[in-house]
Amino acid sequence: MFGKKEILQPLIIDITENKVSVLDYTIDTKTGNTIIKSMGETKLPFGVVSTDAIEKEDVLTKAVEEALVQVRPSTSGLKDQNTVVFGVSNPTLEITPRVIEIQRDNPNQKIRSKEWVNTINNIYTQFDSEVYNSIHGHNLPLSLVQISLNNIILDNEEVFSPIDRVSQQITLETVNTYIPSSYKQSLINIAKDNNLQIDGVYQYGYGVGQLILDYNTNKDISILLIDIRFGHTSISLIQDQKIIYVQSFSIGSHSFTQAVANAFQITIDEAETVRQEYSMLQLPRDMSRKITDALESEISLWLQGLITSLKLISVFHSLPMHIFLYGEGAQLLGVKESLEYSNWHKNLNINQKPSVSILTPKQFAHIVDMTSQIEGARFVDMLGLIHLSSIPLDIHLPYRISE
Amino acid sequence: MKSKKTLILNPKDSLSDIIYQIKTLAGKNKKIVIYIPDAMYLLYNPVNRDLFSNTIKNLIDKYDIDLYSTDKDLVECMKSSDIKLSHIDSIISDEEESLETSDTDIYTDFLSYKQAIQDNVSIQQPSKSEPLFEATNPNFNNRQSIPSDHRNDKPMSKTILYISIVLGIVFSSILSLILIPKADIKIKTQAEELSKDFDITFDPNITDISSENRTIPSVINTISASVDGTYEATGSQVGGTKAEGKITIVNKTSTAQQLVANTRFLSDKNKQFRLIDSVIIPANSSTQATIRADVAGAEYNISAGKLTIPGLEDNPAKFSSIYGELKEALKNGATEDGTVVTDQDLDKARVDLQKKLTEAVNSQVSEKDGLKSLAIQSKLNEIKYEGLPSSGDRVRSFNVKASSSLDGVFYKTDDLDKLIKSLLETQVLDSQELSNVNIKFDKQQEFPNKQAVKVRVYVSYSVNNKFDKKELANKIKLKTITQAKNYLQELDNIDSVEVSLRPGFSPILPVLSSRINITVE
Repeated sequence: MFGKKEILQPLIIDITENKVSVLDYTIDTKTGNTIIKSMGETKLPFGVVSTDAIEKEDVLTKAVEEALVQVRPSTSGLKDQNTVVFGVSNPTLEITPRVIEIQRDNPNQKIRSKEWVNTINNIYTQFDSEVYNSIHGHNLPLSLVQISLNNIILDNEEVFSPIDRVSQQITLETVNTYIPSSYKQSLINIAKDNNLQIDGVYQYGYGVGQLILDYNTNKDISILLIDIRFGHTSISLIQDQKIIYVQSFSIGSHSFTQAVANAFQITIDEAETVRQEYSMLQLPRDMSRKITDALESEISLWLQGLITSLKLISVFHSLPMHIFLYGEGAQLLGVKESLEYSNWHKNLNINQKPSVSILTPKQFAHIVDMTSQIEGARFVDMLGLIHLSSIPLDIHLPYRISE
Repeated sequence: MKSKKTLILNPKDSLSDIIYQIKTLAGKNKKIVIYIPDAMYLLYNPVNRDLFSNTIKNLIDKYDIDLYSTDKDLVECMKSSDIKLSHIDSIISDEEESLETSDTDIYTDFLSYKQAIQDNVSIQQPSKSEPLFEATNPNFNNRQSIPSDHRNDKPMSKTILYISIVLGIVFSSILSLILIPKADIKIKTQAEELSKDFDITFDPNITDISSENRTIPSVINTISASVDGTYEATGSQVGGTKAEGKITIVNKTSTAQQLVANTRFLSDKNKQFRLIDSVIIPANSSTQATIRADVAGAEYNISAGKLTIPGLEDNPAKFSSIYGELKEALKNGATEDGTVVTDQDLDKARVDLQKKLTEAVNSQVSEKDGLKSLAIQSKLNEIKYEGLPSSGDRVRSFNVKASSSLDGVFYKTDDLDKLIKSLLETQVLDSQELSNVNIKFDKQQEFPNKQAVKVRVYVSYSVNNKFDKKELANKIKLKTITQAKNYLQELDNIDSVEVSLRPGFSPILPVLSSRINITVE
């Protein structure tokens, strides 16, 4: 009777090329804290998931099933919790800003919730029916997974909520996220096979950006998020509480591990351990020196990719003066240092070098980890998804599967 | 004819893989041809394309690199970069006439490879060390034969012979100066002290070590021990002590006979005893039982002999066939006040025996059959007592034997050493070696029964440089002492170098590496 009340939330699923992770969390109604209750993780063999496609859907479905069993054993009675949120990010993902203008039939009437919901549904229908051609010019079919509302403008006036307002014209500025159609279909199939309903599919950077902004007193900050995932690095520019630009390139933590494996002629698993111990300064001096040498060209290539991405961003937007670094490769010794101790910023015609900090789950005090496993920068992406899935839906429009 | 190496990219390759393959191939060959198949979507990403183009651009100054693709859209995209990507169909149609046989073969192979990708056929991923596909001009390996030396067959003149002898003497003198010296070199090295900790699982359900899972096999063993002790009875008995002892009751009849407790036994001197507990004596058999004198007193200490059962007197046949036999004289009957066993005496005996048992078991737990203990049960299994009297028994002292056992999880120290070393060796370079590996446990774990137990293991170890003494000797031969010292001191982790040369006037180290003796401390 006096116990803490919990609200069941969707399960969070993170799929990378080498593993699938599932988080189960709740919101404590008394404190508002997010409680991570359990985590499941299954290793994936190489070739099941590639950077832009799910190659072996059946193997991945099984892996998701195994991870789900770890978070909710059949005896736990969590049968009601059958929704799921997926994260997406890869070099073929495209984020496109769109503007939609809607003329109201009865401009003198206040906009009620029902009308607003219908409007949003119409927008979904309109976007869903569109054939989207890649801005990069390839012929890989892409599909819509997420629509984020950046601005609501009623007769030229920007508003936070349109409810109970009067206007002739509604202008919506959205940011649409597209991923390869085959990838989207695989996510749908995996959810279906595991008896789960998709609650949302979000771009990871969007989630992390919202997480930082919603818990920051200064809402006007402009930040650059650099997410070094397994097979690629994703860069997101967050300004005015909106995701403005996303760029990615195909160098991630695996490239660093592969460089170590090549240099020492060891397996990827061994190289992964060595790479982590190197970052924790646990290796003998000579060994560390050799690893530094082995990683030098890979980190330099990564930095080159970052500079090129930032150049593309800086064509239309000013670059923020603070960078948040996270993801599986963020804590590798030499990565943050390459940004701190080199003059890379001079390639971008900016006078001052942006400051860099590594994001870790511990920095989000309201997220309580009951599993003692959510450690390290690689979990930040999943925390972003948790945040998005627990905030009201009128801020962002998630992907919905049409019936 | 041109020699070309060909690289066909795989759409599933990562960008790092592609760049690595190109750099590796370019490092070995001046001329390379790169084929890009369809569905190479990563190159549509502008940043990836820029990184790819930059890599090619940096190599194109030194190497002759041609790029072809079947993907027209990608060819269009690449037009904005500084490198030229040609569409393979146009190349074939434009230059069909000029293509050499090897070029068309490569093209054919590429098309079949492309088809395989489209058909989703399993294609071996290109390894990083070797490009997926290479084609070489077969004429490249044709080497011209090198003409053999032609000897001058002219006979040697006398002058040349004399000059040769003189030169020979001078040369051998110089040679002996080089050969006689001997060098002793003492190198002191600095070991790097390191520490590390691992979670190691000791699993009774496995038989082999697994460095991947960090598990080693363990076994559950039982350690048994038995001890004994003699204890004084401290309770007092006023009015003397009744004699008591064991008798053998013989039944020579053809039917079993039950004797109830308190059945009387009579000695030949008319001293009466009573049976303590009921017994049944099978037909034509005998049973042991305990009798006690009716009255306290030393006169009941009767000698060995036959005792009759007065209760059977009515049946002469039974009376003569069922009787008791005292094998040893009774000694514990006393006229004066005596002692009895108290509850405290029993508790004292039990506590003492348990302590002795624990000590006896503990002396065996650290090691058993060459295995070391990991976790031991905190409590002894059930203790079995032999000869423990009951409270109130009239004895002066009693001897009790106790036995029990303890279960423990044991492991081979060799297994743990092997696992730890295999884990540490991944962190040591080929030129180094591990030494002083000390392994400590966090604490003794709770007894896990048949479950695997995870233990935090703390390891301290040293890393030393390995020296190939022969190679070192070769490197420093014929060097001066200073040069040799400088060379050796520049090696990693060298603390000090001492060089002594005999004879002292010798300016350089011996020419023969076998005369350079190197000691590493």
